[in-house]
Amino acid sequence: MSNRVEESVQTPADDDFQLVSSCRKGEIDAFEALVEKYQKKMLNVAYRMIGDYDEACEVVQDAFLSAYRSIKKFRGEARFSTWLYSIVMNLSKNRMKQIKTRGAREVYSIDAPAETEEGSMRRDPPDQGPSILEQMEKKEVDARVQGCINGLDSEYREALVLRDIQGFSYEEIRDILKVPDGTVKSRLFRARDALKECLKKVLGDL
Amino acid sequence: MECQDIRKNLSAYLEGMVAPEDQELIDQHLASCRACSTVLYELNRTGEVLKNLKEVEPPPWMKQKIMARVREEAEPKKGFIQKLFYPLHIKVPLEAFATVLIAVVAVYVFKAVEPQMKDLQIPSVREPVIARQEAPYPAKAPAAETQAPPKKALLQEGPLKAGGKDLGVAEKSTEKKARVDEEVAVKKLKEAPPAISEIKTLPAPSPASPPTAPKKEAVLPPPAEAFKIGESRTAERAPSPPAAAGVAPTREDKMASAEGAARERKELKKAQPMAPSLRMAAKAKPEGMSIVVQAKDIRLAGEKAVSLLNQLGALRIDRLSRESNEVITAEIKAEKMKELVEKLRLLGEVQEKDASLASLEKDATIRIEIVPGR
Repeated sequence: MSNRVEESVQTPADDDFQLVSSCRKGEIDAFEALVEKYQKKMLNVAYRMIGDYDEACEVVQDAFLSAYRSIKKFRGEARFSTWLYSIVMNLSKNRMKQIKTRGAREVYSIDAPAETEEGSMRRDPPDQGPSILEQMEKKEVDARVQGCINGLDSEYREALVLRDIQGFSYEEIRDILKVPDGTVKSRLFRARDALKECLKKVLGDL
Repeated sequence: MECQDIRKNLSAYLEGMVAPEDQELIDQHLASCRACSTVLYELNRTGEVLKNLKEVEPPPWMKQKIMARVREEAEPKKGFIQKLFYPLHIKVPLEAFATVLIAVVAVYVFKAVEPQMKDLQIPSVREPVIARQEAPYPAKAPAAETQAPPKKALLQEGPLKAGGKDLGVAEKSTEKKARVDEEVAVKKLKEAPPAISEIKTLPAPSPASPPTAPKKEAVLPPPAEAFKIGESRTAERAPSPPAAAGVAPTREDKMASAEGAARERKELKKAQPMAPSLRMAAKAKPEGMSIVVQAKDIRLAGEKAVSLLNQLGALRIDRLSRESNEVITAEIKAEKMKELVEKLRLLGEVQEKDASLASLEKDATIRIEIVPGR
């Protein structure tokens, strides 16, 4: 679970500093470079948060536009990427709320039998043969996992996405979400626990 | 440590985020507790599953779309209407205020310029007209009152100038001629003193009103001034104005000839000083001529002359009908002038005065006086 932490360790100096200052001078090409660099990461965060690809794309576009508008206000207290992630996070959470109020979103219930194309899945104990996880296609597994993530409350979800999917350090998560370390830790524990239970149900075993 | 406490810390334990003493405790517990080991395993698997989630790729159009919106933002090409009116709460009141301001300024400017414009306009009021002696109508009282002054002015031209009176430009130019004429007139007066009464003048309705008459045709002074002159003169000779009026009809038969009277009248006019505003107007319209038409029916002739002017494309046609005559003024193109005079000959005997056709250039003011005749 901690493998990614090392990968994402960044130098304290913001390596986007040059690009960001160019942007502030009105160089659109510099901003384009930042878009190029971060669009995928932002999209993945948004997608894991929202659980809908198209919605996530829209959120990312809005986030970049919002970042461009307020880049002059960005003073570099945090890294540009951290700042950008917090924008994406906030927009994603807002979008989630909208979707929820629209009632268009069906979330996975941890207790209800998981729905698959073959029908309702039984909560069988693991058998001796190859695990369901191994039998299922990767795509299908991803869909179920995403379903479980969608079932989490947004505050647990964001901690889980940032830590376990994006691999941010606790400090970075604290900066992005603007919550204390202890809160990040406790939210992570609850998120993982809930997700573990959900995955056991939808995937049969782990 | 109970299993519950252990499990709470397993999440942090996996990441090596627990204190070293806790780490030892958990290690010991896990070695002995199979359930907690399973939980740890499951947690680890959960992490792996999450880690193995396939990353989604952004659609190829996303960057272009973002940049298109960013560029739109960077160079806000506002529409014409937007530039004009947005933001509404600022620009609309501003524009309304500007409109009111422009309107107010326009009114002020118009009011400031109006008096000057009036001076330049052809007045609707006529200048004094000289009635011919042959007029069949009896002279009216006001006309009679002012009969004397023109002659007096003629006689006293010298003293007037010496006294520093404001004299017209036209007067100065014809001064010499006027002096000569004066002698002639004086001689005539000696022969037949009341002959002056042959020349009848109608009073000017407004002294300030500029004349429509051409430059060369001098205008009679306002009655007031004429009276002043008259007073100074009465001591010298000549009958008082009412008396002159009284004699006027009786002198008619004594008149030497129509030509002589006309000449005298002309001279009289030249000698008379012009009011300042009249001079200004005269300068503004340097071109012009005066035509006298003798017609049997002056009303009919007047109508015909007006329609004639209309046909020839004359501007500012103005007709003034009086009992004794018809006066029509208009602006007409010089090339049309000849045609006009020719056609006027059809109405009656035509006398051209003050300007020859050849001397006229471009637009000219023409004054047609229709008097009863043969």
